[in-house]
Amino acid sequence: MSKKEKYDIFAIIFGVVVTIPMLILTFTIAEDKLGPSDVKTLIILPLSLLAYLLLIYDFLVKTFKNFKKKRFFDEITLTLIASLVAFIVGEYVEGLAVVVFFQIGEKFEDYAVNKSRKSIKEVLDIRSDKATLYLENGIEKIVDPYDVNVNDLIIVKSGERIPLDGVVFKGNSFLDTSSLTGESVPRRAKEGDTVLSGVINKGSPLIIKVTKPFYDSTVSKIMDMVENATNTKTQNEKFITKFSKYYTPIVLILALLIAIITPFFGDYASIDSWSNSFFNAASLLVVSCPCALVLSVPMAYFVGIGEASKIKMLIKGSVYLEDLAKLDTVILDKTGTITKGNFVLTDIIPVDESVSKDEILKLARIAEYNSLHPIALSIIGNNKNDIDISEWKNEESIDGEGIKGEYKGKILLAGNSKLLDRFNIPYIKNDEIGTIVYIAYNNKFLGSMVIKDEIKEDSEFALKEFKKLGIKNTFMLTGDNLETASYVAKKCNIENVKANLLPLDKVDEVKKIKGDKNNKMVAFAGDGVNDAPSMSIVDLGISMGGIGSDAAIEASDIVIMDDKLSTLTKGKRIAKRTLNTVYINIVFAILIKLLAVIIATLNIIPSYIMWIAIFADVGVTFLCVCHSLTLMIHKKR
Amino acid sequence: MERIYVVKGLDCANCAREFEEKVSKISGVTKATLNFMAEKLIVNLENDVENEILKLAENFEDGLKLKRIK
Repeated sequence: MSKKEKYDIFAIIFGVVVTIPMLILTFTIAEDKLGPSDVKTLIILPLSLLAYLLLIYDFLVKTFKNFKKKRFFDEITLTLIASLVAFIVGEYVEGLAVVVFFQIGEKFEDYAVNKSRKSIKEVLDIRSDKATLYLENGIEKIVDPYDVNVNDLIIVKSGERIPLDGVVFKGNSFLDTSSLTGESVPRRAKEGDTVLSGVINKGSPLIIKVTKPFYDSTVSKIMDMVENATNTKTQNEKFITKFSKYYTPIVLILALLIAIITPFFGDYASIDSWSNSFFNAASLLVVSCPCALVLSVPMAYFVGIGEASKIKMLIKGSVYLEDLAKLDTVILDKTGTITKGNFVLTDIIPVDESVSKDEILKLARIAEYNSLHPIALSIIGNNKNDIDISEWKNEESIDGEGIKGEYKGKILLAGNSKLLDRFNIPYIKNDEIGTIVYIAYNNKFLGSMVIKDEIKEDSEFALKEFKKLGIKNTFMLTGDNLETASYVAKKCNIENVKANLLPLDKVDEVKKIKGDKNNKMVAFAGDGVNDAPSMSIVDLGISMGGIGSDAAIEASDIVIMDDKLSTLTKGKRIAKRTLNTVYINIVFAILIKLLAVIIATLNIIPSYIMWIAIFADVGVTFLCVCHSLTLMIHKKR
Repeated sequence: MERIYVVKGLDCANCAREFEEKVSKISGVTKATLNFMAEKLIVNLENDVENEILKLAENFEDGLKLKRIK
């Protein structure tokens, strides 16, 4: 604690210690009417004044500086004026109380702001503050990660966090990626593998060749996303900015009018009526700060976004948090979003005994050799070195259908039923659930292959939750066949399914759904990599598991790092709760403040008006800020 | 163009709001958003008026510091 902080706390404690007995004394002498003026001038005034002077030392310095900078209506200045007026009209305890509570309020606000800032930093700041360069001859040098260049070699030892994105140059280890993906099972990293900053090396040392500068590395992107992503404000925030802009000046003008006009309605020759009007005006100065709103509302959004990050959901700003709370329509991509997206070849069915499974597989692997599509990869398998493609020519990929090419001078086809229809090759339809790849060679159908994709463990449950959380319409879009799509949809209770979509059809479907007036707030959730066009159409783009892909982070408004739909439902709960908190704070704060303004203006309960004003200012701020902070408290999600 | 500053030393949320309003009134600034909680000022500029923004900060409140990060 600094000297200044110690002084502040001493002054506040002293202020409180003086305020309470003085308050009791004021009320008792008022009741008993035992020489009130003596007690007041001999005991209450000097003690209150002493405590007061200790407390306003800071104010005077700041007000002086503010005046030099031509800022006259700062809340400190106004509080100072209000308390001085109270002293002048002889309400010493009230004068002291105004500054005591103001100071307590300030301290509490600082505490609350720091607390919430810290909580979000703790979750997000997985940046390293140092990196170890691996120089020639194995010399190690610890440097600031900002000073590491692309292509530099760094060494990351066991237990250390990888500071920058890169590729493993040397070494073999296990990585704990939970900070990025929520996945607790360690992942293997070997030479040539891409590794992301933020993950922890759990095994032997790795030498990594840096591929991105620090400010472009994954961890910096994550921090950036939540902290600086948007300069758009929510409707609520805009309302508060507007309200504050007019509220303070209006209350100040009202205070001025009350001070100088009201005495003329009564006995303007009496000093009492002037004191009374000035005191009422002073109480208005106390309620003139919209602090409760301007602090508690942004704080609620901030805490809400922080809480969402804790469950691995990154939200690019308060606007998107609010959109998430209001979300009523979700469009889901099937593969990789509802299902795992790791396709497995489960069966090969030859057309008759003359064809062997091995033969079909051999031809299929040749045809898919150059493709990077997940289905192709499941056919090719882990190792493609044993595939001889020397006689594979004129490959042509037919969008949404499959691959055509020439093998040993004859046409080889691998794709869905549309592809075989196109070439008029009769085939036996395979009715298995899954993606079916038909193989034809030399104009003859040889057989089909079944490739399956598993539904993620939590998808069923999450989609059931959708309705409870106000998501009325859920759509599933897929390029896959209708059988597979219907199977997944039925299992997960999704009513609207569109299958067999080409990438462009998908965008058209998204446009149609967004265009429907019944769907007020529409989100698209996909893997993010190829979804930029769809995401730009809807209100809310959500990418799942897109960490590490710049395109995904750029295109989407929300990134779900752990790739789970249940994170979306948890996040929606947080968003709804945040928005409720915001609404309650706005209504409560404005209501109490207006009430205080009315009471002071109409001179309803003059002897308590300053206490009401203090409550309407500091008390309401305290309650609203506490309310926003409660967003951090929750049952186990 | 967009600029992002880290804002340190702002006393209160209401001062943040006032400061934001003043920054957005500088000619050449099309939009200014101050996120008090994140301590970030994001400004959209028509032309480079960084000096005016820094000057405004200096004259606004004692101890107010802006550091450009983007």
